[in-house]
Amino acid sequence: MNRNHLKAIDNLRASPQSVERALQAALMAEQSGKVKEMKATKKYYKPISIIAASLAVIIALGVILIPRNGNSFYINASAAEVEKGYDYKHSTIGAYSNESSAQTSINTDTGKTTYMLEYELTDFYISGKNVESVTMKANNKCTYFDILKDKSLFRNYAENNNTQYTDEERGAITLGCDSLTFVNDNPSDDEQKIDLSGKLAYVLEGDMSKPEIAAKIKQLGQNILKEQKQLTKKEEHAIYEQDTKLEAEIIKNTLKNATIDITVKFTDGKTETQTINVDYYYDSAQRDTQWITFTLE
Amino acid sequence: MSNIGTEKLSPDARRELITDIIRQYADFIFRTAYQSLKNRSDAEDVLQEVSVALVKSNAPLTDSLHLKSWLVTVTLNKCRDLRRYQARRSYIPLEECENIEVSDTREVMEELWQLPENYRTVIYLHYYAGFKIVEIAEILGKNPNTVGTRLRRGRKALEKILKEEGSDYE
Repeated sequence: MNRNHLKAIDNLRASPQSVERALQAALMAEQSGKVKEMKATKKYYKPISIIAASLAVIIALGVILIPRNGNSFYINASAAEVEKGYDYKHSTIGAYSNESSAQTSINTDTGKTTYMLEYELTDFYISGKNVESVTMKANNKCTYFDILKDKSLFRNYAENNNTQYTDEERGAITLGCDSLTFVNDNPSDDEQKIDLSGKLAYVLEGDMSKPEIAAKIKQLGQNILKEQKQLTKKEEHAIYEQDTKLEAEIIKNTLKNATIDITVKFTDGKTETQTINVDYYYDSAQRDTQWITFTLE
Repeated sequence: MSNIGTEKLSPDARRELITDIIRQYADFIFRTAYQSLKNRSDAEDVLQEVSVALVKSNAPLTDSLHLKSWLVTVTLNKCRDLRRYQARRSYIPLEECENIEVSDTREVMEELWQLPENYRTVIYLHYYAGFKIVEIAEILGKNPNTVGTRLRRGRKALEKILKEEGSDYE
């Protein structure tokens, strides 16, 4: 951020009319205990292709209704979170996930990777009839779930803690589980929408059992050490470039043929599974943006 | 503002306090929403919603230390809600509405808007709003390491953008 940015932000001011509207709305709410919408600035709208594409996603994933003895379920994932100005063609094919965390540790002696990225599942729904429970299983090694909130809604996560690893590989870091079950306390014959948005993160690690990946993780660790010293801008920039490429290669490897199984158990005891493919995109041309997408098989 | 409980305030005093807070923080709330939503009209709507939330929620009205953090948290949540609402309705505001902004201000803001929102919000809160990394972590409900990573990556990404556009990075 430079002086121009700070000045530009300083120049931004709410109009006096909007402040007055806000004051009136607040005082009315305070007096009546009811929220009354004050008339806002007149807005005009137009549909754009990205949103149309998002709708297409909802339709594509949403119409997979499989009636059987009144049972049904479908996965509804939209690209609602995608920001204007980005490359939509990737995100619109599935649920968009924000990268919410990234950590690299230089301690690599446990045998388990010390590098990980965490993607919050921002817009993720399971809908259906007679749904008793929903089990999610991350199939690839080094991919698993982390419960971000409402932990009490989930079951069977403790016993499935990183079962993809051998005992030898399972190190001190235990951040998540490769399988967990959401239990629907009130199953219904009517259509229900189970909102899992923001409750889970999909966590990716580098596979330290592969020498080429271990070397990349080690390089990331060494870069962290370098960054703690006084660097010139040129050196700092070179490290950044290298880090982003290393991260992309590590995660691409982790997500090679990655899938997630979503298994729904119905109230009559029957089960049904749908598989989601997970893909990773890294685009250096787009400000080094990276994201993962989900598509139904 | 002193740190006394609002329950001790008379209704008139509470109203006066709320009015003062909205007047004092209106521009701050607006800027926070604007950098997130990229649209003046939407940012002003969020200002209104945050003002109502200030009254209806358990906001720390008399705790000036926490009030600013509370306002940022609620503002960002309202921005997210608004984006979802708009996305579900398949509409976005017309460009002419966005161009109400002073052109050179908007031009400079465009550089920031090229950053992914995760990075942009952290950079805004740290460099403009003056929050420390641990405070931002608390506001966003994230690990301080995560905020630090976003800040580092966002800074680098912004540097890259500015270099491409021939601007200075400081």
